[in-house]
Amino acid sequence: MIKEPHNIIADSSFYLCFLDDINDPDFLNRIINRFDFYITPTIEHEIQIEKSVSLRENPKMIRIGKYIDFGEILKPFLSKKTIDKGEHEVIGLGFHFFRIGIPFYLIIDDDDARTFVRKNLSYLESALHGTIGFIEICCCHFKVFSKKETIATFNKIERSKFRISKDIMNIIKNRVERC
Amino acid sequence: MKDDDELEVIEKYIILLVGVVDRPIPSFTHLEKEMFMLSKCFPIIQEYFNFEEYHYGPYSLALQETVQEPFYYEDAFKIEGNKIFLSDGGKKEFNKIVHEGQSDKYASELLSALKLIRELYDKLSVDELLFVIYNTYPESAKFSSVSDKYLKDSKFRERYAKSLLHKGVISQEKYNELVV
Repeated sequence: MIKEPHNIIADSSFYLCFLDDINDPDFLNRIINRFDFYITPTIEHEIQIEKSVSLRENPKMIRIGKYIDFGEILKPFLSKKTIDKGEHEVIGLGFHFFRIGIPFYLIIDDDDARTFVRKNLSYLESALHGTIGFIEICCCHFKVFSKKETIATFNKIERSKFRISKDIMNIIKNRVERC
Repeated sequence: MKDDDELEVIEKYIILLVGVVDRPIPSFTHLEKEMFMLSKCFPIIQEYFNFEEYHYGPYSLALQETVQEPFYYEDAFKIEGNKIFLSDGGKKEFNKIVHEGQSDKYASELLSALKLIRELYDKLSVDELLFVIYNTYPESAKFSSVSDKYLKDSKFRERYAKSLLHKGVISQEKYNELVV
C-alpha cells in the first residue's frame, strides 16, 4: 500500500494566498493542522512567521533551519525573483525528501520553479501541485473542507490578487464538484 | 599544510562526491566547482578545502592534490582522461563511510546535497559551469584570467546563456538576467 503523504513543503505564495490575498488565516490553519508543514528560512521570512503567533507556535509548522542550505545549489539556475521568493529552498528540500524516501506534497505556484522541476528533477513531478490543486486534494482526498467551503474559497481566491488562470480554476472547481 | 586528520576528512568528502552517483565526474573543473558548491551550501567544509579565487575562479589546492595523491585511501580514485571515478576499493570506502554515517542525522542531508550537485552540474560543459559560477559568485573572479569571457563579453554570455536555456536548466527570465 502506498503511504499517503502527510508532509508538505510549500512555497510562500501558498501561505500568502490565505494570509494576504484572501485574508483567511483560519482556512490555512485548518490545512496546517491536518499535515506536517516543513518551512525553509526564506519562506519563514517571506510570510513573516514571527508576527503570527498561530503559525509560529504551531507544532505542525516544522522550521528546518539551515544546517545544509540546499537552495544554494539551485541558485545559479533560477531567476532573482524566483530566489527571492524562496523557491530554490523548497525545491532543494523536496529533492532531499525524495532521496530519503519521505512521501510529501511539493506546493509550488511559481511558473519558472515548476518548469525547472519538470525539466531537471522530473521524478519530483508526481509530488508537485499548485495551491489550488492542493486545496482540491484537501477537500476531495483528506476531507479537510466540505465542497461548499472549498468552492467558496476558490471564489474568494478568484477575486483576489492570487494569480491563477480562469481555465485551470474552472477545471479544478469542476473536479471538486464531482469528487 | 593540512594535518593528517584534516587530510582524511578531505579524502572522505571527495570519495562521497565522486561516489554518490554511479558515473564519473566529467572533469577536474567539475570536481573543483562541484565541491565549491558544496562549500557554499555547507560552509563548514570551507575550513578543510580553503577555496580561494584563482585563474579559473574558486579553487582548492587541497582538493586537487588529494585526488591526485590521496594519503589515506591510496587507490580510491581513478582518472581516465579528464574523468574522475572511484576504483573498486574507493567504492568500498564510499559504502563504509555512508554506513558509518547512518547514525548521524545530518549525513543524509549531506548525501542529498552531494547528489543534487552531481545531478545538476555534471550535465554542464566546462564553459557553462564557469559561466554560472562566475555569474552567481562574481567575487570568485577576482584573480581570474578568464572571467571577462563569462562576465563581460556579451557575445560569449549570450552563447552560454542560450545553451543553458536549450538544456532546460535555466528559464527565459534567468536567460534575460544573464544576457543583460
